[in-house]
Amino acid sequence: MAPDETIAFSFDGSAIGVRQALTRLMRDLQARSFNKVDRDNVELVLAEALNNIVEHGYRGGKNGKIDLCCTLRPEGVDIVVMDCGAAVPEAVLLPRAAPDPQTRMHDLPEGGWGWSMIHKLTGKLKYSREGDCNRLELHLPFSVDVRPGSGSD
Amino acid sequence: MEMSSRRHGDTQVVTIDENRIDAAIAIAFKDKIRDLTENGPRNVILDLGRVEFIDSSGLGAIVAAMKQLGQDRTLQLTGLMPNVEKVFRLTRMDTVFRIHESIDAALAANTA
Repeated sequence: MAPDETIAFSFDGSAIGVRQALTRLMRDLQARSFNKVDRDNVELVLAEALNNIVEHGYRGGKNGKIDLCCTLRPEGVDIVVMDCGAAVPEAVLLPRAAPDPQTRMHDLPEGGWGWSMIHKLTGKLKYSREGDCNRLELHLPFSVDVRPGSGSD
Repeated sequence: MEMSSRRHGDTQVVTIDENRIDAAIAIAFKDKIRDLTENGPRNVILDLGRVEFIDSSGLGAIVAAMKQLGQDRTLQLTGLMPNVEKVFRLTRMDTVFRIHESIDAALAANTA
């Protein structure tokens, strides 16, 4: 893989737009000999980050674009996601426990895992509000799977 | 949203004929499972053998499907690919569902 190669494109901030963008990115990463575990981690982290933008940032049918830029480095991949939806509340960015599965069945969570999965699979995470837009920077080191003792587990 | 259903005695096997259960499909998934399992057998086995990717919306839809069945029925899983299994593990939902190695193992466990 050539160092510091960049893959960048824009897409619709919709559930279908996210699905198509992930499919395209996975194809591009596979063509660059990314291994399966690393591709899977990038796909999962990005799916959660992008779904958050669609569901919260662009909530209420507000149409918007999402810009994605992935820089492939020897030690991992740097991802920048930009959108011009609502700001991300600071509280959700803090590392936190996943919802508790040890509860009665009808109280089981049906969501709320997104940020905890992002934190578990991401090395570095930085969020900033730039004017009316959001910038999320993620660094995923190669071949980290679940790190024992990280997060709440 | 494609899924198919077969009945084996007291057990229903629902096979997901999609390679992703993601945010784009989660609501359709929940609705279709409800239609397929309404008034069905006590035990439902969800065969995820063709599913290559699941996100937290898809996971939420599977949890919702289990809750729809109520206290007296079960939703069990089989055919989890490594990437799908990882999502269950990261969210600790692998402790909530009964997960089988194969459809045969799931059917055997439910007829024993």
